[in-house]
Amino acid sequence: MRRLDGKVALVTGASGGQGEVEARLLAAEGAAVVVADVLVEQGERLVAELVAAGHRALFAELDVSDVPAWARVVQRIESELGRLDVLVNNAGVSDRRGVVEQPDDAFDRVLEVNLWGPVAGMQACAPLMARGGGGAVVNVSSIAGLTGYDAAGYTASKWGLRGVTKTAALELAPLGIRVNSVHPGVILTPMVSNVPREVVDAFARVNPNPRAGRPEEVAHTVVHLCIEELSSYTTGAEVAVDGGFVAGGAHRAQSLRIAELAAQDQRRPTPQEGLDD
Amino acid sequence: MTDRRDLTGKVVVVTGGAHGMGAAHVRLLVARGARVLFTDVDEAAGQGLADEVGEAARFASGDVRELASWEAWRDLALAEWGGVHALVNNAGVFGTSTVLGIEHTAWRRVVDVNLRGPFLGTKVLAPLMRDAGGGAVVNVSSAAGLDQNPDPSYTASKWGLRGLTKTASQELGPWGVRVNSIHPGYMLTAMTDFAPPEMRQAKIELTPLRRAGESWEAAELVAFLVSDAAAFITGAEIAIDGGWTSGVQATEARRAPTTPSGGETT
Repeated sequence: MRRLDGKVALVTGASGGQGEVEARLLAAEGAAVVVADVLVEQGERLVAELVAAGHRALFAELDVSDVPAWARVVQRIESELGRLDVLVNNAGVSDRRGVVEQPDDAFDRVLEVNLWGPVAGMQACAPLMARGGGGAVVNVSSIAGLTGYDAAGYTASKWGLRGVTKTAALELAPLGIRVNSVHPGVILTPMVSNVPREVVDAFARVNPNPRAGRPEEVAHTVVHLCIEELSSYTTGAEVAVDGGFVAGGAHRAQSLRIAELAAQDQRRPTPQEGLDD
Repeated sequence: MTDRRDLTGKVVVVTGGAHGMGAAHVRLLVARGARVLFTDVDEAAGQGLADEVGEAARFASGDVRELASWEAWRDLALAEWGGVHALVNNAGVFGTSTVLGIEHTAWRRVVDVNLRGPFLGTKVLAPLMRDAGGGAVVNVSSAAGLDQNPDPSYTASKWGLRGLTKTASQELGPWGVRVNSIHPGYMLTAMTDFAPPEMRQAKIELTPLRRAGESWEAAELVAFLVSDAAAFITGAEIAIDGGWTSGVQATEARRAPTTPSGGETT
């Protein structure tokens, strides 16, 4: 059953990684998909593949922090596809340095893309969505929007996005637009592929469900929130897709540390043995 | 018995200290024994407060959005008092726009003052707290950082500050630096003066304690979090809102509106 037949969905940061998987699933549900990204070649390749598979799709070059670029994209969607029903604010950047080490311009860049970008997107898309009777916005935040995280600007941007989702949910409700945030944990995507595998494994180790997530697992949650018949009464909500990291990670970390200490104790000579030396 | 709330010997930096809650923080921190370097963009009011409070308080002008201001304040605190033990990120500005209406320049002003400022301050001053053997950062967020405000820049900045608090608490904890956020609701300050009478009355009627908060109440919380009495509190978010963020909607839902339309105008 295709539950987005006749609908149009725009996904930012969709040329690869998490966004690409979201675009593929939305297309599989019948939506015409607008792949928006700064990565042109990769995005055009994805669109060509989707079109070859019988889907409606188009690529739009877009830096989400660029307001005039948003206006051009929405104008093009209106003239070529006639409507817009779904906006997935998926594009994001990171700088993994903490508060003390992160330079101020790196902090600014992360906030422009991850926090202003989705606001600029909702501003540009909401009127067209409203003219078609409403729709759904999904803001892809992070576990870094639910708990402390090592990256300063990234955490600030993802908490900010979680908050502004609620402001938008209230403001856009009369237009028939629902706005929710999704909070992925450590997921095996290109965004983390430049991180050493040990780091991914170290995060996964602390998960109650001790593995990294797959992009499909996040994308299914995103698509659920885009489909009216599945989530028509859900707005302003925040959904973690993190293997239990936020809810149970602290306790899991404690159990692991206890096991580690116990193992060390078995290797260490007892005080009695020490005296015998 | 030692009064752990006593702040004698501590040097505290307070931003936006010339007016409202910030001025209350300056006065109370000094009264508890601290030496306070406070900043504001309003130089006349800042100097006036410094003259009134006396030599335990120093005023410095500047802008929390500028890294150079923070470096100058750090150098001044080092020169005058040899270090910094605490930072109160109080400076904030309000926004009155909407998701559909906000322009980038208005967005940046609010986000830069309310979120970038505390980031820069923590970045510049935390190493001094480490050198002092520990310290405290208090980030003045808002009830809007726990639920929301119609202005997207204000909400985003106050939620962002709540999150930055968590990250900083993890990063700086091993240095003995505690980082917490406080979330004032409707307070009687210059920032809320703009509110029309109906809004003020509605706020008061909906708040479980049936009144607005006063600046001294926020100052008491700040002084507590800065002090050794709060030695094990870090990464916390404390509402000071008379109960606003604990479910006023459910309470209101049980009340029959006095007009047939429920007062709804939109």
